[in-house]
Amino acid sequence: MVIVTLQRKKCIGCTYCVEMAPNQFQMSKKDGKTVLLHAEGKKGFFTIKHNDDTIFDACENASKACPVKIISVKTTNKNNHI
Amino acid sequence: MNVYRLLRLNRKIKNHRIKFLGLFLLHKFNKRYLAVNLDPVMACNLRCKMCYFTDDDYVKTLKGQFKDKDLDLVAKSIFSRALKLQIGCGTEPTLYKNLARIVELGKRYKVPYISITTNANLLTEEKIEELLKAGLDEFTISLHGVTKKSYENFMKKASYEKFQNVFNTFARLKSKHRFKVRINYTFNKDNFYELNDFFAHFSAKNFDILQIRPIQNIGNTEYNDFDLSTLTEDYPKLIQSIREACRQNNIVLMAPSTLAGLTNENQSSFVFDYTFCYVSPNSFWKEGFNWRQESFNEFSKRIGWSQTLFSNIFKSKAKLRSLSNKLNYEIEFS
Repeated sequence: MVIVTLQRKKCIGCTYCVEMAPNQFQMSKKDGKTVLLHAEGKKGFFTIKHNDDTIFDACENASKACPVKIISVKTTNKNNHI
Repeated sequence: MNVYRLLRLNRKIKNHRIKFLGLFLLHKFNKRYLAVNLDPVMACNLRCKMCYFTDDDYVKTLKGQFKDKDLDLVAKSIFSRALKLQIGCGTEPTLYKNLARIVELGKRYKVPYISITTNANLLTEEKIEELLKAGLDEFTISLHGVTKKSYENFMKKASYEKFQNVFNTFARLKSKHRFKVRINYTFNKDNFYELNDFFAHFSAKNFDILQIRPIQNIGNTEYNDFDLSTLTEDYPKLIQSIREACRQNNIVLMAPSTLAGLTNENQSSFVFDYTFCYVSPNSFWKEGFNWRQESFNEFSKRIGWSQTLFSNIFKSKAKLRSLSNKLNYEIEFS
């Protein structure tokens, strides 16, 4: 399982995450910040738990590219670590 | 203050010894002479083909943005010696949410000239006015294509309509606020000839300064054809017609008069390392400058800065040649 968390309040709107993981992130036309698709929000943190491990690499790239470090990616699969 | 007059003066003074003597005296008499170039956030919203932001691996190395308290310390440390504050140097400053606060900080420390370099795509009339009210003196806007097709080709993810809207907003706000608009156009052999139509697309009444600069190799960029040899013959004629249009409309033109000497080093850059102060969340100009705890005056005293400036008066150009050289051409003012 892949767990992706976005601290949305701190997003600056650079769009790197959308470029790296277009199936998981999308820019909001309302406020110009990124949206983690299908995520549940709690106290400013938006999280998805995905059973499809193939999204890991894209999300990891998004996390690495984020200049303000607000995306974290974890996996329960021991072969994938960040 | 008109920084372009100072740049002209710098161009006119050919002797580097006189320049270092001037710097030495300015330093000794506690006057302003630094050009502070500040990147508040290490990101960009566009992927311009001639920019290193098209290099995914490099982008991953750019991290961070300034915290308010750190900006306060930067300002305290160095703004009182800044002649010019350029916000946005290698990244896009409008991604930084408290941009107006940086301008206010500059004004609080009485920096005579504050400019923002931006691709303008995130600016709105409200944001522009906020910056102008904070005391901004100049918008420097990047434009690398005259037509929509070319602009959006070279400035990937940018919108020509958004740019034109902002450009027209500047024109409207010029009646309410006193500020300058500068256009930076980087040309290559694929966007050069459209400069013939520049004034048909961008009204001369809407801007004050036009910089036309040849493409430079600044990293692993998507567009990497740096050969301008095919333009050498046509360049002087085209630039002359632009120069004439600029003269008629009271626009300052900054452009090389010929492409012949592009590989030569810039003769005006000998003082660059002593005046160009780059600040970002990850780096602060000089090694060992503890800007969180000391001012520029304290730092310069500690490292013997004035002695260095003084000794440079007596050094030959050959000895100073190892210093940084950021431009690959000589700027001609019109």
